[in-house]
Amino acid sequence: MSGLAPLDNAARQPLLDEDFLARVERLSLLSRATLTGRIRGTRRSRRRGFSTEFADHRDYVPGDDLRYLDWNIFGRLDRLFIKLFEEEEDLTVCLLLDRSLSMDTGSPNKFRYARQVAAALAYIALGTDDRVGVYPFDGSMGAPFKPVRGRRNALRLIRWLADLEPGSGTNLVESLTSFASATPGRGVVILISDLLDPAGYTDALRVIAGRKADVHLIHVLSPQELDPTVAGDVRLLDLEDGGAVEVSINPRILATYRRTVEEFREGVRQACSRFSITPILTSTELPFDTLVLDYLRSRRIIG
Amino acid sequence: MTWLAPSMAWFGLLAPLVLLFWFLKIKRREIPISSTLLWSRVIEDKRVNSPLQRLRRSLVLLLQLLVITCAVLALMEPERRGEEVFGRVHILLLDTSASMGVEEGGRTRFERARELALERVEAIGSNERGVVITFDHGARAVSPVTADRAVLARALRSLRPGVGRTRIGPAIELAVSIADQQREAVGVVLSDGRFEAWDGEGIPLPLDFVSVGREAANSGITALSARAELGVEGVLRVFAEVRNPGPDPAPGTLALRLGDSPVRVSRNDGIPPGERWSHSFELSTPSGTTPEARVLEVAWTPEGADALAADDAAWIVVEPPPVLRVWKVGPPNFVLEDALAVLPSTRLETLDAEAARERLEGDAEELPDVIVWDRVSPDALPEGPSHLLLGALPPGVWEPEPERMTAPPVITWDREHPLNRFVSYSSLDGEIPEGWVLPDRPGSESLLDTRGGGLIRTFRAARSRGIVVGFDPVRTRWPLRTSFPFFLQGAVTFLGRSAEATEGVRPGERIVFDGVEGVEEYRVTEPDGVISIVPATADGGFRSAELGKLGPYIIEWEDPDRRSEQGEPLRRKRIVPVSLLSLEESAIRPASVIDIAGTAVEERGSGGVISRRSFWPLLLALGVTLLMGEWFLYHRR
Repeated sequence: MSGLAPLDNAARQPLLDEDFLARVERLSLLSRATLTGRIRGTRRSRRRGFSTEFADHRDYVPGDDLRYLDWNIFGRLDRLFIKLFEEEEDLTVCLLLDRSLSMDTGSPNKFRYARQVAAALAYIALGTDDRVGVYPFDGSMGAPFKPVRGRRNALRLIRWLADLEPGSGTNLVESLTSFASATPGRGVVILISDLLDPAGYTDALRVIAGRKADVHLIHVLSPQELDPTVAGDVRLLDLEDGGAVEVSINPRILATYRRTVEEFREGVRQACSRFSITPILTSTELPFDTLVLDYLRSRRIIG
Repeated sequence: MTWLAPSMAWFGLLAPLVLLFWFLKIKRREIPISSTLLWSRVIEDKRVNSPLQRLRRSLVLLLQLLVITCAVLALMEPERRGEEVFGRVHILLLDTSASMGVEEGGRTRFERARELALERVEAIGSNERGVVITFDHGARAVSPVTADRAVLARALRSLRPGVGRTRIGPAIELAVSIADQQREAVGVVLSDGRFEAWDGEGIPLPLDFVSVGREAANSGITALSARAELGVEGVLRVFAEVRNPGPDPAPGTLALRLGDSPVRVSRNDGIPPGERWSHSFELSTPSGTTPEARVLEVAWTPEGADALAADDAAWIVVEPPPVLRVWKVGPPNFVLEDALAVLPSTRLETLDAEAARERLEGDAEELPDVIVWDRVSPDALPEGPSHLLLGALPPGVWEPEPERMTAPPVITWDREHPLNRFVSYSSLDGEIPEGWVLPDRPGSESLLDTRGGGLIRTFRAARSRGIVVGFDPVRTRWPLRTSFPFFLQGAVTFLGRSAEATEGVRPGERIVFDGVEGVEEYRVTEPDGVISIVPATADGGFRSAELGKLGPYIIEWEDPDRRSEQGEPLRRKRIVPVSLLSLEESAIRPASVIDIAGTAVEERGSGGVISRRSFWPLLLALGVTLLMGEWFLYHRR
C-alpha cells in the first residue's frame, strides 16, 4: 500500500472532459420519490397543481381559480369540480462531498475521484433544471456551493469543484448534523465519502436519513485501501490525526486486513439498508465515467 | 560433550541484546496512509502488537537468535570424547625399539605410533593428566605426570626411534609405579607388539593396546658368535644365523668382513618363510695388533624387500686368546683336576693349601688369574686373583656363616647369566647331600637357587671377586655330566676374562667393566664417530650410558699402572660391538594380542583411541547458513 499517491498528470486535467459531457447530455437524476420543489419545474410532484398533466378532481371551494372548473362535469352532474393537475416541480440535489485528508490519498486519488463524480452528477442535475448545491465537509461543514439551477451554472460549479482543496480531519456526525439543520428536508442527498471516521459513520447516516429526502451514499475507497501490497515491519501514519500504528505485515496479517475491510464495507451496506440509503460502494480503480454512466444507471440513480 | 572454552558462553548475552534491538524497532519503514482505523482493528483482532506474538511471527528474528546461538556454541568449542574421569592419569607407553623403525607408507611405525599418542594426548580431559613412557630394552618417563597437554605433546615430538630390542617388562613396572601414586590410571601401549611376554605379577591398571604396523618382508641376523676351532691352532669359526620371519622366501648374501674388506661371502637362494639359515665361516684368527683390526662384521644383504636395516649387520671382536693361569688348591681331586686340565688356553697348577699360602705371600707378578679352592678356603682372600670356591666359603664375606641345609632342593637358576648359558642344574636336584644356603648380599648374584637362598653365588669382596659353590660337587654325580666342564669353563672364563671373542652387548644395554684404580676418565668413540668423555666410576671402572647405536664402540683409557718405554702411561683400548641380534625385532609382523603378565591384551587399533570430535566447524557452518537465510528473508521482505 502506498499511502499518499503522487500528484499525477490526471490531477491537473479538467474534472470532466467534453466527451463525457456529451454523453450525459440527455441523462437526468432519478428520484424514487416524487418530490416537492420551490418552483414549478420539469419534475412531476406529488403535490397536485395546475400544470398540464391532469391528475384528479376535487370539490370547488370559494376562492378557487375559476379557470380550473370542469364545466363538463358541472353540465352532467350539476356540481362544481375543480380539475387537479400533477404539478411539475424542480428537484434539489445536495451533493455532500467529503474533503477530509483521508480522501486525498490513493492512486487514483479519492478526492479527485469524488469531485469528478460530484461534478458529473451536478452537470446531469443542472441539465434537467434541478437545483444543485455542493456541501463539502471535513471536521465540520465547509462553505457550500449554494444551490443553483440551470446548465448555465454548470461550468462555474465544475470550476468550483476543481478548485476545492482537501481539508483536515473527519467528523461525519458534526458535519452532517450541521448540514441537516441548515438545508430543507426534501430532495436528493448524495453523500460521497470514504466514511473513515474514527467516531464511526452510523450516527451520521442516521442524521441524513431522517430527512424526507432520497439519500444515496457513494462510498469511495482506493485500491491501496482495499488490497494493500505493503509488507514488512512498518509504521503506519494516520494523515488526519497523526496517530501511528506499528505492525509487521505478513500474508496472514494482510488476509486479516482484507477481511476487516470487507466487514467494514458490509457494515456500511447494512447501515444503509437500515436507513433506506442507497449504497454505492466503489473503488477509484473503477473509472468515474464507468461508475456514472454504467453503474449509477444500472442502479436507477440516473436515467 | 565437553566445552573447551565455556567462558565464551558470555557471548550468549548477545541474544538479549538482539531482542532489545528488536523491540527498539531500529528499522521500521514509515508509511503515511489515509487512516489507521482499519489497521487498528486488525491489530486489535490479531493481537499482533504483543511482543511474544511479534516474536513468534518474526522468522528473521528467530534466525538471528539461532545464528547467535550457533556462534556462541562454536566459540565454546564443544567436543565429544570418551568418558572423562576426574583425576585419571593416562600413561602412554610408546615403543621406540628397532622394529618401530620399519617404514610403511612413507613413514615409520614409530611416527605412526607417535601420531596416535598425540591424538590420545589431545583426548585427555581437562580434569585428567598424562605421562609419556618410552621403552625398548629399558623404559623411561620422558615427561612429568601433568595435565598440560602441550608438555606431553612436546615430549612426544622430541622422541626419536631407537635401535634397541623390546622389553615390555620395565615399561609396565614403571607404569605401575606411577599408577600406584595416582587415584586412577589407565595405560595404553602403542607398539607393534613384538616383544617377549612379560611374566610379572599382574598389572593393577587397565591397559589398552594400540597396534601399529602391518606385515612386511624382512630377514636379518639373529645370532652371531665366534669360537676357536677345537684342536686346530689359529683357526676361528664364526657362526651366524639369519632368520626369515616374513611371508616370502628371502634370498640374499651373507658376507664376513674384517675391517673394510670382505673375507668370506656366502649366498642363500632363499630362506623359506619362518625358517632360519645357520652358517659358519672358518678363517684364520685375526692377528692384528690393534683392536680395530680384530673387528669382524657380518652383513646380510637380502635381494628382495627388507623392511628393517638394523638387523642386517652384526659385529664381533676377536680377542687375542690369553693364557689364563689357574691354581687348583686343595686335597687331591682327580675328577676336578682332569676337568680343569682340558680347559683351553689355561695353564693349571695343582697346589695343596700350605703351598698355596706360601706362593701367595711371594711375588705379586706370579699370582694366577684364577684360584680354584677345592673344599678349602684361605685365611683371607688374596687381592688380585679371582676365586672359585667349591664346597668352601670365602672368609669374611658371609658373616655369620650361612646355615647348612641337608639335601637342599634345586629350585631354579639364572638362565640369562653368561656362566649358565650351557649349563643345566636340573639333574642336581636331590643329589646334593648337604650345602650352605647362601643369602643375598651386596655385589652378589645367585646362579643356582634353593629354598631360602643360593647354592651357587657370585660375590665381591674388597679387591677380589669370585664364585662360591656351596656344596661339594664331588659328592654328587655332577662331575660325570657334561654340564660340569661347561660350568668350570664358564666360571674360569667369567672370572679370568678369557673370552676368545666379544659378542658385545645389545642396544639399550650398558657397557660395564672393572677398571684400574687411578683411571679418571674414558674416551668413547661411538660407531658413527661421535666422541665423548665418560668419567670413571669411583673404583676406576667404566659404565656407559644406554647404548643407542649399532656398531663397535671404542673405549680408550690411560693405564696408570703400566708405562710405555718413554715413561708415558700406557694407552689401552677396548672395543665393544653393539648388535641387534633379536628375533623379536626381526619378526616385524605386528601382533594383535600382547601378553602382559599372563593376561592377553587385545589390539584396539587406532579406533580404540579415545575419539575427540570437535563440533565447532559444524556449528559455524550452520550459523553461516542461517545467516544467509536471514539475509535472504530480510531482503525479500
